[in-house]
Amino acid sequence: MDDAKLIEEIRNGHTTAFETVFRNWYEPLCRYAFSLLKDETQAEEFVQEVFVKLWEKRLQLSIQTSLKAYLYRSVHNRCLNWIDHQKVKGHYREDWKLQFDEAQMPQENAEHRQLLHQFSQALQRLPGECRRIFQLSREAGFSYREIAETLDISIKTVENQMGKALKILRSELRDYLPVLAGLAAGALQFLRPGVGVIFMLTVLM
Amino acid sequence: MSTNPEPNEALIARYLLGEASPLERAELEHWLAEDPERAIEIDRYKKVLELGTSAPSHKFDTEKAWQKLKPQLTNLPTKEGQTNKGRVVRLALGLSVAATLLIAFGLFFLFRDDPAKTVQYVAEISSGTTYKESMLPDSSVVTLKPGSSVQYNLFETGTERRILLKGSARFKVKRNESKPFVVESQQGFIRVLGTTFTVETDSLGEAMKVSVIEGKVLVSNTPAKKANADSSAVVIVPGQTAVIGHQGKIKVQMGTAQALDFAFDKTLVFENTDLGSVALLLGDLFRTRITLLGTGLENCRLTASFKQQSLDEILSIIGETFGLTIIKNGHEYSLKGIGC
Repeated sequence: MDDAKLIEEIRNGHTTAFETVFRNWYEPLCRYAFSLLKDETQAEEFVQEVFVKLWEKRLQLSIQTSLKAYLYRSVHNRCLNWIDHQKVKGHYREDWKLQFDEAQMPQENAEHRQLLHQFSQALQRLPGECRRIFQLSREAGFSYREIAETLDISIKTVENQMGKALKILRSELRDYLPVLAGLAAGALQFLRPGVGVIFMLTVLM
Repeated sequence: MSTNPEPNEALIARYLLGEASPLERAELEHWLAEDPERAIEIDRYKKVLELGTSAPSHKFDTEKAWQKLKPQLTNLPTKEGQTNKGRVVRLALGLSVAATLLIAFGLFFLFRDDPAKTVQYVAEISSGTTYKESMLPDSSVVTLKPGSSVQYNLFETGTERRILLKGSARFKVKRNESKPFVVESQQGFIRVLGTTFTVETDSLGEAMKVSVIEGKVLVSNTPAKKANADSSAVVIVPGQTAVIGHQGKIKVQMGTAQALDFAFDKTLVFENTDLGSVALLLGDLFRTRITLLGTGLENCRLTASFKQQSLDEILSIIGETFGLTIIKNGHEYSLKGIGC
């Protein structure tokens, strides 16, 4: 079902359409909220709040973008408001470091874990807007246009910030990436199947 | 030697993410083909992008969240009536329409001259990105400016027809002396029996402007019919504009109503207006200068209404009406003739 139809059905009070949207986007939205807030409970709370609002305000619903961009934007704004508020209260720490739950780490070899760990640290050190754009692209799978719509910025800004993210991350991981070629055969097992094939082809080229 | 400049990271990102144009793609691939080392470098960038999708993240339980959220969804959209103090009275989500209306009716009846009363609005009309004209159940017509909405309760409140306005709108109210038509905005209240008027509120909720096209309008900072000690109210007539600031002070301005109506939907109404004033106003509204050439032109009086017409069209109609020649000189205009 396309966005326009889903929105129309939600506006008409069909809970099944609403449930479809919820089930489709709840987890990715929570992951995005979590990447901004670093607080699991708060992330879930805000995402649920956005969905409750979507339902309550369905009569006034006017979505000019895609439903996906609308949802991410709502979650994004809600989270950033909260962060601003926490900053005012002095509760928010910029220097927060992402601590991985060991149990959630992929069960792979030490080198790959090390690489992932370094990557996550480097990601957290990116400037805020740059990091959010990178995460929307990679974690949420957004196109540049969708990122621009979600964050209300120009596509040019998205392009520049993605370039900046890539440059910084590449440079921060320079000590870990050169071993890549040697690791290639072993690395394939960590990557998703599709990614693995592309990767193998590049190595064979 | 390379004929292609070294690509920057922004271009590499676009290339790897499929956002590059065919030309960019061809150029970059040509650049890659020139030196096998470059492909290895590109692979490192690709790896960085891949890491972005494979970073471990927390798991969230959609099913559990859905079970928690589901009971909160009722088919009743929540409408929030506001008191004049800006407090929002929110009724429990689970109330049925009937119970809601009953309470609203009861409150209204009990406290109908109490400024703190609450109105439960039952239906809503919103404009999208264009102007929207709708007929309300009492045959009044509301025209909403883009991005505006009205919620209304025209029957159940018993004594009044109530409208909650967000944004800007023009109302052509069907006359009903036993049931005044009351428009509430964040800034104040407008009470009429049967008139046509325009209301504009700014998005920051700081000011409300009301102009009258036909009839009389009572503008006040309280929903009560009679003003009390700490309220104020004015009655305005066509040609006047009432402005309520965010502190509830009301000012009446003369002669600004046409500008307000023009800003609303490019409507201009002249009622026996002298040509000098018409020229001045048109000059202001269209950001140009219009001069009258010839004696006695000021004595001409115009009664006309224009809607969404260009200055050239308006001037040509005025010219035809009074037998005048329109001279366009750059961006400025002159009206030449014998006059009236």
